[in-house]
Amino acid sequence: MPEPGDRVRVRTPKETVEGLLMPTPEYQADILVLKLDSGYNVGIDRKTLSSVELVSSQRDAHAATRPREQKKNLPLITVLHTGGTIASKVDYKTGGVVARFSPEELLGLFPELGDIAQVRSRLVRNMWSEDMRFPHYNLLAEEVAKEARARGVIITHGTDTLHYSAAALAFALENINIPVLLVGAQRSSDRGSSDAGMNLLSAARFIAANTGFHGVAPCMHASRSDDDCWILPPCRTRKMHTSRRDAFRPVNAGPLARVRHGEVTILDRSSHHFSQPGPFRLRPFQDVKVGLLKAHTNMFASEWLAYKGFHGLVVEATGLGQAPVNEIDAETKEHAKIRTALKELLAETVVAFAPQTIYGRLNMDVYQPARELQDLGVLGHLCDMTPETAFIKLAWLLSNEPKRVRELYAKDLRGELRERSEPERFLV
Amino acid sequence: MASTRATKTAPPRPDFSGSLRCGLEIHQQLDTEKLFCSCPSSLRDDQPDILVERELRASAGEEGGVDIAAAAEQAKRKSYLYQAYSDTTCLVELDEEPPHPLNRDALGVALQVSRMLGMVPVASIQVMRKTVVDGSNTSGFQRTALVARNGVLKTAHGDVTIPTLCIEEDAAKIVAREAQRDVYNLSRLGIPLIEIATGPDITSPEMAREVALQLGMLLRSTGRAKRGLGTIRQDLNVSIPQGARIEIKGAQELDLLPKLVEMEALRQRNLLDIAAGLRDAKAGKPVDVSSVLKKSASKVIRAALDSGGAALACRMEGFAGMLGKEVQPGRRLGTELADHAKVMGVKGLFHSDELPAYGITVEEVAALRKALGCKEHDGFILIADAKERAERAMAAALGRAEQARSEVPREVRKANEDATTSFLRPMPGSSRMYPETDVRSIRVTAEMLSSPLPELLSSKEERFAKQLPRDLAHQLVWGERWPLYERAARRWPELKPVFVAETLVSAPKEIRKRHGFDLDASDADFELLFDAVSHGTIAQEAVFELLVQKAQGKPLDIASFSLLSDKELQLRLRAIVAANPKAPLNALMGIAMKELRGKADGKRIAALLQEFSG
Repeated sequence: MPEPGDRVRVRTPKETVEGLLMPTPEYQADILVLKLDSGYNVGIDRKTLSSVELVSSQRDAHAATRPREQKKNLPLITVLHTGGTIASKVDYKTGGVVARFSPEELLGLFPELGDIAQVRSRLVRNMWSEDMRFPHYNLLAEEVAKEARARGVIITHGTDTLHYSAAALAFALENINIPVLLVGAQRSSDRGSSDAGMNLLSAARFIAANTGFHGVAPCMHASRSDDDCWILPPCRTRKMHTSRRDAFRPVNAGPLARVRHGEVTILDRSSHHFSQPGPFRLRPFQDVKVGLLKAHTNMFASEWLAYKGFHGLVVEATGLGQAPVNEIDAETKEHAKIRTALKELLAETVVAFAPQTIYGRLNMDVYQPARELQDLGVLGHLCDMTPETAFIKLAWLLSNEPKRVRELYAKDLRGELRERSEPERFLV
Repeated sequence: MASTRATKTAPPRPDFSGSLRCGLEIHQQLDTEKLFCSCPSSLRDDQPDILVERELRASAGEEGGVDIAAAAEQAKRKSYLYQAYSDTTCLVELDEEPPHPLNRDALGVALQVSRMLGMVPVASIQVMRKTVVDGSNTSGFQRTALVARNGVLKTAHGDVTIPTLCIEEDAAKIVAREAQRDVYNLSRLGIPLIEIATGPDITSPEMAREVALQLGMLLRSTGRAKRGLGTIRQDLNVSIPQGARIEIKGAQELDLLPKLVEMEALRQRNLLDIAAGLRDAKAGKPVDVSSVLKKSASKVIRAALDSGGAALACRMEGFAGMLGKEVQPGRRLGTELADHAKVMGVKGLFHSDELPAYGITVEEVAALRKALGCKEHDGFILIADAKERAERAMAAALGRAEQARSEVPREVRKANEDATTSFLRPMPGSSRMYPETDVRSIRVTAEMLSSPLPELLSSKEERFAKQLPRDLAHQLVWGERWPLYERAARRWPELKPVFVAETLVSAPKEIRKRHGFDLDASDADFELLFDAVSHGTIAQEAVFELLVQKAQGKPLDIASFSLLSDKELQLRLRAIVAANPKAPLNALMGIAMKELRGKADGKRIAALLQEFSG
């Protein structure tokens, strides 16, 4: 039987066609896909096939990537790959884009990298970022910790949960003394317009510029043009758009630095990323169960009770820190049940609120119900963390500081919380 | 410089008997929403409210190869400025959002046209990405899909095979080319195009013209073809024996096709002659000759050297006399080299067969020849610009010179107004195509192939001519309003066909002739008027007056032309008679018609005036 990639001659009652056999799309099993010499793929109905004849077997025409001569005088940067759009390629089986580039292929694509740094590169995992779990954060943190000799580390990462990983690594890599930049791409690197190259090269230039920066930070497009990249605060950044290049925005904060056409400008010199770090400690996540629940209208107690047995639960609270726990009429009887469920939950689970408005700070003293929630033991008063950072932080605290969770949830550890709400930090 | 020099010699008329192979590619814009988003297909050149600057890099195709055309484009290192509009372009055109599913309306038209050409539709349509890194597509590729194959077009000159019909998205329109940056307008990007490619069956320039005309007619018969300049484009594929397949883009005028075919055949033959004369020729290595020319008065040299650039020259062994050989009227081998150099952002190049000239003196030429070690039969080429750019341009020109020794290079060329052509980019290979994985492939169902086929415009004209004068029927069918004419006939059968046709075809011309205004009325405007006439709200005569107002930029104020009731009419006419007690009937009629044109029936006015004045 001819295999995908083979040259075949296909006969139907109407025509004879020659071309390269392509894998069948999973959702159209009755279709044979042929790549014609013109480059076009066409689907032919299998039912109409009289014969499929092998013309020649074609081995993988992949050009071997030449090992590149590295410049010894340049700083060493380690690139750790985790897959995602920045390193993705066509998958014929699904007809979709999947993470498939080898690290070498990525370097082959961006030769300029060789003029900025000596590059070491390895594949840590090849995965969709939505499949990340705490052990992956630990694995990444351990791989980073091995790179003491490097000027900095770049982690290529799928964008969907890049902001979770940024926060997770910021917590796990306590006082890391080199830059660890997370880089993704909103347009896959299999197209000319990909933002992968600029994000990656900007990260490399930022590291090579030796600014004194240490710690974890995403490096992504600042605008929809290919001009600026931002170095973003790891615990105060969120993916705010499904598809735009400039999807990653600082929340309740500003960018830390800018790389414009290769030129680095520090925008927030006062951040802890530029002060002398303390002793480095790798503080990984433990096997803790933490959930993330969004408060909404017409909620049911069973939604809350689904988290029974969890170590922690972050609730995206409405407004200044509310949840539907008030029985005010016959229609809100369920809310009394939610209140009971919450009390039950609080007996063994840490429950912390974070703002579902994304921007702004909770204030659970303003309304009576929220005061009662605080009295019941719900955390989150004055929290201005994104829900994702709150989730990561709670899991990390439960892993590393189980006795001090209540105290430390409200304390700034990695720049994730601020006491002052700066006026110009909305919709940046 | 080689790029600008022109001569007056007429080309010898080439003999095509049995040697020419020519195919056409027709690209027709469709009047639907865009192919992969819901933006309107409206072409704009007004002030954009969004500007985005981007870069593109060549990326590997599915077989791992980087396309040669893509690599050439990347060597230019340009950035691209995109103009967009917040009300008619969206994140899809800006390459900030994945494409939406392929527009079914446009696909329906493509399938119809394929059936009209007797083609076999593919069972499953696979959208492909065709790598295009000249910046004309924000994504770095053009989305295209093969819809049907193997059709035939019958012409008076013989049958022409139609191997493929594709549906694809149009590219952004170039606004300006700068040395470091090209500016594009995104309003055109994503407009659906039907691409019909003929086989290399066209054997004469005249046949090329007929095929283009027939395909154009077929496309317009669907009633969904966009109209106006640039909405249909013809590319030519021309080759002669021992020559190469050359794709010529951008022939806007059908009349230019025969000439283009002729001129391309001529160019290929001349290049083959030149190749024969260059068998022992070879290019040397580029040398920095800035010091040789440091006192030059040539503007180009001065501009480069004074701004810190360099002058590079290269000895061309055995090229003397060949660089100046004409390939097309006013275009020499040197021009071909210059075309390749210009793609890299320089203004052009000098070659030894055109020097001394352009401010470069006899002495400087001699000094250059000496510095380069040129012997009697050697020539040289010279480029002055920023050093890096000059180096890239020199490499490109030398690459073309190397090809000149053996072959006609396979290229995509741009049609010039005089039917000569200039180099655009190398002919892209099949490795420029890879699947568009962001959209699912489409199964072609029997239902999609069951819609009735549109009537050909030629048959339509015959049918219309039964109700209309032949001339009016012809103008209507070949103009853009016939779908509205047919709609109006169904919706308002009580309206006279001649009235509707004249309103659509003759009224705009009449308004231009009488008032000097261009009527910019939409189908909806006309429909409003027809509806008002059919309901008796306004008189037929009022339609023209209202269109005149519209042409003057006023809104269509139907109310101001609404017909008077008989009672009102009597009152108004009595007033006219009273105000003009001594006027004869003819004069009264004139006054009344001036005041009441379009608001009452002329016959009734005449009858009432007779009654009141008598």
